[in-house]
Amino acid sequence: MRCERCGRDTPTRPGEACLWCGHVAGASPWQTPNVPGGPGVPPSGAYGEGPGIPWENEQNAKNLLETMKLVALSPGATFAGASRAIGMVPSMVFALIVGLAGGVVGLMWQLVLGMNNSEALKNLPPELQGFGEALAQYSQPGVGSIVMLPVGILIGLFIMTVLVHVGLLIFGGANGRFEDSFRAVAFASGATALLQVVPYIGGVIAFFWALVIQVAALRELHGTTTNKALLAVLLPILLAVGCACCGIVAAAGAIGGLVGAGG
Amino acid sequence: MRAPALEALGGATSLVLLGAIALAPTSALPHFPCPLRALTSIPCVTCGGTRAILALRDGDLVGALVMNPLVVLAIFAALAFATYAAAVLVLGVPPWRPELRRGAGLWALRVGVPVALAANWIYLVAAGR
Repeated sequence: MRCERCGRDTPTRPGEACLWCGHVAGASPWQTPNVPGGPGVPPSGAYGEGPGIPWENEQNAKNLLETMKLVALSPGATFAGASRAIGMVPSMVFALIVGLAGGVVGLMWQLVLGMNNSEALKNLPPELQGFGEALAQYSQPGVGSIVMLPVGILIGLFIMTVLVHVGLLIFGGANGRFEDSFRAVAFASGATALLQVVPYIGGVIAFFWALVIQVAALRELHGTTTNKALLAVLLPILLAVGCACCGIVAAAGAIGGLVGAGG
Repeated sequence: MRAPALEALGGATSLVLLGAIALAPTSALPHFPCPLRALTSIPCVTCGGTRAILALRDGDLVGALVMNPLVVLAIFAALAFATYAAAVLVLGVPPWRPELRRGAGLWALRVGVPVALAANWIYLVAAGR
């Protein structure tokens, strides 16, 4: 029979776990496969023996969409079943593909709606006028933005992973490898990138939802607690809390200006 | 094949950042006023970074350190990592995986990172960057 989840031929019968990805026909795609001990009962040391993440099992369009859905809507269960012996490359390619698609759409919104017009940013408090004008100048979309997008995505993923992994190490939550932290960051980034199709607020929602996914993914991939994963994810933000606060003020001012300009 | 992926991505990232620092036109470097400083008069942890880069480009290491020591340290760390990554990827040197989850490595991280960040920030505030 052909597995409904990974699409591969498997010699198993209906009700049995797929030989390739462990999915049981008729079950939810992230259900723990049947194992000795009874249905749904994970074996001892079951970490990494689940169905795996579809995109890491096989890279095709169907698994890309499936992975986006699973990671975005059910990150804890998805990463609980992820294989441990996977490197960085599949998640990097995933983040690159979806990030590029989301980034290009985001740039198009900027061009179409003029989201970065300096008029809106001029509604910032007087102290932040210079910052707002510089922000408008830097965020002007163009050919260079699209060319630099993949480079920016990869650099961003690596730097974010370094910060998160150092945070995990400091808080004693790094039970896995650097590669596992990278997978958490990359899948979270990729699964939320298409939210940029929503103008104005899509990027903001994607940022915060990616943080939620990162926490769940780090907790499962590193076998640590939610609190430690949360601290590791928030550490880079806490370090730059002053700048982050100002960024929020700037963003709020910009959004307010845009709404005002639109009305 | 799996292990060098870290070196490949990290090395490429370091090279791109170092290349931008070394070759980007001065006008392309970040030169906007820091929002934290604009609102509170307190510099952020990266204040003085652009001036440190400009000083380094002029070969003025001391001047760069005076502007922001941590940014200079990060630039040299990126340079060191790029060299290491090239050794792994080109010369086939075995990847280095230090034990940072326990022992001296862990304590170096737990003490070193917060102390370095705090000391740098205190210096920037005191020096009025």
